[in-house]
Amino acid sequence: MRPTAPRAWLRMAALCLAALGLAGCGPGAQESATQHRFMAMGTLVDVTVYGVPAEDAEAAAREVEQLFHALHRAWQPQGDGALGRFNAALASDPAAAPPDPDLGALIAEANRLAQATGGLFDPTLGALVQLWGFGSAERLPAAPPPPEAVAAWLQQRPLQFDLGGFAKGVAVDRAIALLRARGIEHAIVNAGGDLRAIGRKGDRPWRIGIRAPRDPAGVLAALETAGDEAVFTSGDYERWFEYDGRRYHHILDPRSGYPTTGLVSVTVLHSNAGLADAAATALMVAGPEAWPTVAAALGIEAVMVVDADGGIQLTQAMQPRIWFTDEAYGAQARVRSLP
Amino acid sequence: MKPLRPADLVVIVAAALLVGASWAALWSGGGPAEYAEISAPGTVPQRLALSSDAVVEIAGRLGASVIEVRAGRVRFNESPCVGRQCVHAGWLSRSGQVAACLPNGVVVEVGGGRREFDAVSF
Repeated sequence: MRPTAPRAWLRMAALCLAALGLAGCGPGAQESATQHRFMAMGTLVDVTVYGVPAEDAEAAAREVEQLFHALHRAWQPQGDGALGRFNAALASDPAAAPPDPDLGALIAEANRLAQATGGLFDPTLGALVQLWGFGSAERLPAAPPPPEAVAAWLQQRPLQFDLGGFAKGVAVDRAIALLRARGIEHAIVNAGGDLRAIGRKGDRPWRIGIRAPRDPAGVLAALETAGDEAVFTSGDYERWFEYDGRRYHHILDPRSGYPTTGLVSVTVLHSNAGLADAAATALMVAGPEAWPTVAAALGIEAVMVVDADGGIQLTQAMQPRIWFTDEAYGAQARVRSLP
Repeated sequence: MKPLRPADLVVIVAAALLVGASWAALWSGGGPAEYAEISAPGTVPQRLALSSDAVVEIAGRLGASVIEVRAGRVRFNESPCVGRQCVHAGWLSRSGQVAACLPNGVVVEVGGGRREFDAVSF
């Protein structure tokens, strides 16, 4: 016993030093994240970069800002951008072709997702969104459209594209690609609460909160991203108005022409932000019963949904990733398996 | 007092590691937020301590946004925008949360303490 004791102590001391060294990285490293904030696509965009000199981070983030502005111009449903012109052309000729290959590829991908979700994600709701008045980022409708106008839309379904629920995700993906091309390996691009995070924040993963749908002050849960992940949440609380004591929100069900019911929020975790964006929308539309089928059809494994009664459902892949911030939330949570 | 012995060091490190473990299990990450940072077009961002209740008017592009701090939380009380998403955003209290009145150009971010979230998904 006796002769080995000093060596054991030495080993213990070395371990302790290593542990202290690990712990010591945290606070100092945390300070060096660079944040750049701007408004684009009708929302607030935050670019957080870690691990490169501040001026490099700032320069890359400004490029991301230019990218977002350019994509906003190209992809807004009205106006003189590529999509606006395409929609105008479609209004007179439903067989018109997209004006440029980039938009063509985007629309083809949106159509593919629409097909995979059995039309629950629908990029052709342009006229319906206009009818409701949810098209503008800066104003909200005062009243729902007359029921006969919604009925007329359901019957005619004029082909008008609106890539809300997909374009933002694709923009986030392109922003991440741009940052990587500039040698940045650790970053978050957060477009109004929908984000993709790559790398880490120094010695720890990026920490993401998920808003509690019926308590805006609150955060329902937290998760740590693993290397490269997008976290997209769709909720009925994001854009809404009240009319005659009823609440109308901006996620429209293509089957009824009215706002979705049943789920109040859907959070999707996937490495592809465009897919996560479309999936979050499609699962909101699918509702409390059908969402697992739609998630499986899209190849999405990590999902958390909150229903109108506050019940929380998580997939098996999401469950180990989530820390609830309150025991009450944990008590309302159930794991639901995908088909 | 005797100088620190190796065994003392082991106890100290073990205790520190245990604190880390309990944080992960409970998610009480970060301390309480300390301030609201308010930015508006053409001005230097200003900070309001969350420790003292206050109501301030912040001049934006369209008019004044009214920001209220009460009981450690902050919110848009009034804003001259049409959509009123900023007012709908309600109270913010956790470090890393952000609310914005985009038409008016006013942004409120909760900060301070040990930053709890690098971003909040909503």
